[in-house]
Amino acid sequence: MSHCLVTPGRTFAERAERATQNTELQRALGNLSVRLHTARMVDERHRDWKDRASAIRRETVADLDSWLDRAEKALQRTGATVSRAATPEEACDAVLDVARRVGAHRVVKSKSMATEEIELGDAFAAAGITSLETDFGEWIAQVAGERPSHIITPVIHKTVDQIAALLSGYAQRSLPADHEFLTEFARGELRPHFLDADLGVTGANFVVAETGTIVLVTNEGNARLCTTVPRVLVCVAPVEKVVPRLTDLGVLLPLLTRSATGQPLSNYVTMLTGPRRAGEVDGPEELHVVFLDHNRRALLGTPYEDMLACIRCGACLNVCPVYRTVGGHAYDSVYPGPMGKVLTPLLSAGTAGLDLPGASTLCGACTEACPVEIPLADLLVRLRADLRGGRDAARVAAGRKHVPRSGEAGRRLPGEGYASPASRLALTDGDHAPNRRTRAFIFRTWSRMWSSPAGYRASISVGRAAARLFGAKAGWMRRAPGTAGWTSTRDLPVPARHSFRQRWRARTRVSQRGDESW
Amino acid sequence: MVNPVLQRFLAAARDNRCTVHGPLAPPAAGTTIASVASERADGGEVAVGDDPLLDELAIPDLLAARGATMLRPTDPTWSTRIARATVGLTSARLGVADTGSLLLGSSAGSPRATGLLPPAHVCILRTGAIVAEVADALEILARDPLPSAVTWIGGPSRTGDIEFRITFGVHGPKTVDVVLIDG
Amino acid sequence: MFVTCVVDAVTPETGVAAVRLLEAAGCAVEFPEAQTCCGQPAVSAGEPEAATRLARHFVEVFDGYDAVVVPSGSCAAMVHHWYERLLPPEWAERVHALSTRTYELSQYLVDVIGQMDLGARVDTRVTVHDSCHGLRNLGIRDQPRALLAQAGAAIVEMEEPETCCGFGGSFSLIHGEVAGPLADAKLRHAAATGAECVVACDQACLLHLEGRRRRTGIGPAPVHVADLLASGLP
Repeated sequence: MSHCLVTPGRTFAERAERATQNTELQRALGNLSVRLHTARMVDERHRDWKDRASAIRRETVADLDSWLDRAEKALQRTGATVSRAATPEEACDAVLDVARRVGAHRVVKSKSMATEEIELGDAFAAAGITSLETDFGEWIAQVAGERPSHIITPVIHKTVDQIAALLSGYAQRSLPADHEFLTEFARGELRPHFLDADLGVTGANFVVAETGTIVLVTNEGNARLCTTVPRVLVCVAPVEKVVPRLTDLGVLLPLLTRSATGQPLSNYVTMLTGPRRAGEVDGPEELHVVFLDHNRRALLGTPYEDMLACIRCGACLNVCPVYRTVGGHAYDSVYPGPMGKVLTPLLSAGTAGLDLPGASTLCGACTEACPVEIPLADLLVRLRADLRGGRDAARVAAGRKHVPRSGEAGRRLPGEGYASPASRLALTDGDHAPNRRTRAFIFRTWSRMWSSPAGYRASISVGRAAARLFGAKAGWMRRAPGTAGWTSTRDLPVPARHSFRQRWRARTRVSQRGDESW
Repeated sequence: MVNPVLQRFLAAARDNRCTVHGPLAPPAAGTTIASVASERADGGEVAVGDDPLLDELAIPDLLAARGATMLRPTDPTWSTRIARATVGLTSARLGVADTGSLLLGSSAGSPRATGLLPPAHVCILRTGAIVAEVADALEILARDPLPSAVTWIGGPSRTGDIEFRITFGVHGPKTVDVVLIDG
Repeated sequence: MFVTCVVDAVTPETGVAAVRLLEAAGCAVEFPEAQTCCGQPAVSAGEPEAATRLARHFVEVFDGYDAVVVPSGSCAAMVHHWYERLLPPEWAERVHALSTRTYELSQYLVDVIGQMDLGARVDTRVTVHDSCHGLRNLGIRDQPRALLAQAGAAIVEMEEPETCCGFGGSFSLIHGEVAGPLADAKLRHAAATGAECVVACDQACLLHLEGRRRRTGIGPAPVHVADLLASGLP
């Protein structure tokens, strides 16, 4: 499965630029305004659920290894087999091992961001196994050869006309741009595959440690089919999906679904506890769970461990002004939007996503929308500081040992006296070191100058003079060296003839003569 | 006497696009179940589970009287015929008023596919089995060992994947009828 | 008053307006001349050492005052939200005390001294943009509206007043390709109300919007709430 983007480019800025000029994409993104309100679906129970959900998630993350062990044992007691994968490659190997052992050739997959993360589709293809995405949106993305652009609604970047055109190509006949028709078409296309499949693959929304139960939250029925018909089932679960008790879902489920789509509960919730029992005629005969780490546990004990509380509701995407302007492909990541801007650089092995934390206005709508109170905007700021050093900085910074107290994650930003491992590393890290050093020098000089009123005043005078030099008129400039990032789209305001403090001084002198005017 | 939990369930189930029948007392309930099921069957087979409630209500006879054939999980050809059945008749262990959800538990006598593969789903629920909230249902489930699958169903299968516009019947059942039985 | 570097250097008239409004409300305003910048640009750029230096200076300058009033929601929010995270633990008490006495201008007038009637008359049709940090960190939404309504302004709400205008500090320099469209969306929403001006409590937002408006010609004039109210003072 290839991962084309409708807005390709080397950097976020390039992809974002393409996105703002793509009229069909902009039309599709207009639909996101509908979802603005779901993030603010406030029921009188909402505050209480948020508090309890946040507490449950922090309780889990604070002791993740222990809950993971308990989950593993409980799953094994139900008759499931469990493996742990440190890397995406290990996870794919674990799934392929199962597939090979049972001789599976026809796989049906329900929507799982974890399986996107490990690129399982590609691994299957390389092994000569056909794997079909069965979630309607994921199937459309698969037909298009594109990456999904939203963690809940995979092809929200496409209009109905585009989808109709795509599926017409697939069907080799003209299909109308009609939502109901296309839905029925998908049903008919995919039904035989469900009935014929020998392996089902899903993710997991939650894994209950107490009972060894896998919980899938869906609307379409494809996950039910994937977990009912094929003889063998594999669930790929990132480690943070673990939840201590079944009753914790009493808060997590309604909060998740309300935050994701505004529904009091999703149309289906499937709770699987082990493979089929003796005498049962359907359900998987074998159930395998693969827990995926991929640098998540490296975040434990660091300020970033808060990110592991995420329940993948997508509310932050829906309210993000940047996401709503450029769509998911601009991020070029399995996880777009605010949660993706934090998670991607932390999980990625290479330079992936290093420019993502900077791609935010820090408006805080994401923090406000998050049902489990992850301080997303603060984590982005922290990442900006920690990532100055280059590719391994975040991982090194994340590896710094520190004992979190409840609520402390994200509290202190590295400031004076903080010897960031990132900064030591940067000095030896080729590409980024000179830029970083220059930038640090500029900011250090600026902050030193501006810690002194005289230095501050002098620099404002210089700025004022420079503006005059570069042709400022009536307080505004159309262009100036080094300001293209701003002046490409806006006029730049320049310092006024007399600063406020000059006017204050003048007024003070004047008032000493008994006149308070300015 | 108005039961607020029941009222909430009725409203939520209708919001979910279920067709709700009743509450009905047992004899009337049996007739309604059979009539709804055979109507939805539209000439095809009615997949059922091995539920004593069905026999109590004389459903097999009532269906036969309407010319509908039943497919039971004990039938050796069940796994090939289930995919062609046109209606699945199940009973729910619990209902949740706040969300209009039906909870089905799997067992040897109650296959998962019954309320999944056929395009029509008819589900029986006792009014006494309706709890107020999701949390209440989970508390009850947590008391005993869980079955291999507990499936919560709101209504017909749906998706909003194209432009957030909701459409029905994408993979799961296209229609859900809920027959409420007093007690 | 902490006038902020943007107001001091670029829109000094807003500082003048703020002083006039505070004096109209009966306050004695002092302007400690040693003040410079709250350090926000450094935080958003991911340069915490620089931000800490400026934060330290701010705390030292404003330590003794009963109230520090700021004609900018984002600068006031910077003090509230970030100073305790930037400065070392030894500073915590001092910083906490100062931040509880630091207020955005409209917040100070309405919530602290309860003075909504400043004697200003503003017969203008306005729409309000809710600057992000003031809104989400300090809860500033009703206060500017109360002041405007009291002065007789006709407030017409735009669609999505709470959605970010696209400034975002360093974002507006690095990602003009997104900042521009966000400004456009905000100006279009403002224009749709038929308002004569779009009012906010933050010059950063307003200058960004005006900068864009000068290119596109779309949208009402962005005006700081202090400027508008002060223009209506006798």
